[in-house]
Amino acid sequence: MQVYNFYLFSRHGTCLYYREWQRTRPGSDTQQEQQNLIGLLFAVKQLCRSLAPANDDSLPIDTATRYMPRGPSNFCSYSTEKYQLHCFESSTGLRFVLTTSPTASDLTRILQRVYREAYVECAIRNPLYTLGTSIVSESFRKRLDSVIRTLAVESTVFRPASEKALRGNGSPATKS
Amino acid sequence: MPIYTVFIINRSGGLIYSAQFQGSQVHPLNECLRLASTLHSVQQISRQVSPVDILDDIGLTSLEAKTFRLRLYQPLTGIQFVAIATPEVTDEILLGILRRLHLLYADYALKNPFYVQDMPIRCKLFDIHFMKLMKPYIANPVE
Repeated sequence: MQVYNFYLFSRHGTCLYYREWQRTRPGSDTQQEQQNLIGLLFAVKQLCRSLAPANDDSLPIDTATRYMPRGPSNFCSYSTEKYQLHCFESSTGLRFVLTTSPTASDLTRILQRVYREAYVECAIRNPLYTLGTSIVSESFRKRLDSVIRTLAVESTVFRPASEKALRGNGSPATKS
Repeated sequence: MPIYTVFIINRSGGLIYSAQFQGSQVHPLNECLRLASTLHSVQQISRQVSPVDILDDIGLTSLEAKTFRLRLYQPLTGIQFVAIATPEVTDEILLGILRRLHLLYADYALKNPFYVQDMPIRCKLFDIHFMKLMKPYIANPVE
């Protein structure tokens, strides 16, 4: 599986962090692209809310929030023929977005780990970081990379024989 | 494994056929039109934000949420067939249904001399065969 890029959007839709790995198509205008993507995510969230089945307990019932989606989202991922986009939205409105090749399974857990191990540790707990500004911390980048690296290992190695090697690689970098 | 909703969207994003079955939220027709055009534009933008080559990519084809799964089938003519079902239904089953729906569309809408292309489908035979196709996948039709 290939991992293309990662975005972190704030509650107001500004991009706090962007990183790319195996991206093949160079973006012409990064800022424009990020704006397109956050617009897309807003639309998809609203769409998912309207298309959800009637007995969906995970969503608020009030219709006032229907056009301007706030609160929990039930969107997980979408895929095209060429790539797949995974999104995890925290309760505080942060959006963690990861694009991969389309064979990937549900990666919400990985994005939750990015939140737990990278964002909370290196942004929230950093006394010099002010909320809502872009993240420049080097340790954030390292932790993000280590989480994504475990993902690449997990997906390429599927045989139980190599489980030991996998555990040996992953743990020292990710445990804090 | 019920199917909740089926949409057919024309090339310019207009809704030309919709069916809502038991279990889905019931939307008025205007709301359905809005949803269909939103879906169409989402598909276009998803192509633009692609990190890889977009040469023969048509954009969003399937979408997974916690409580449902959406599958979109777009043949070369640009018309879009959309089905929304419970997450247990696999992509292959939905794609099979949508391909058969495309056949029905060709047989009973396009071959109908009174049907104008890209306009809402109001063909009796199409309705009959559509219900026949959907019958194994729905509990009780709402309308």
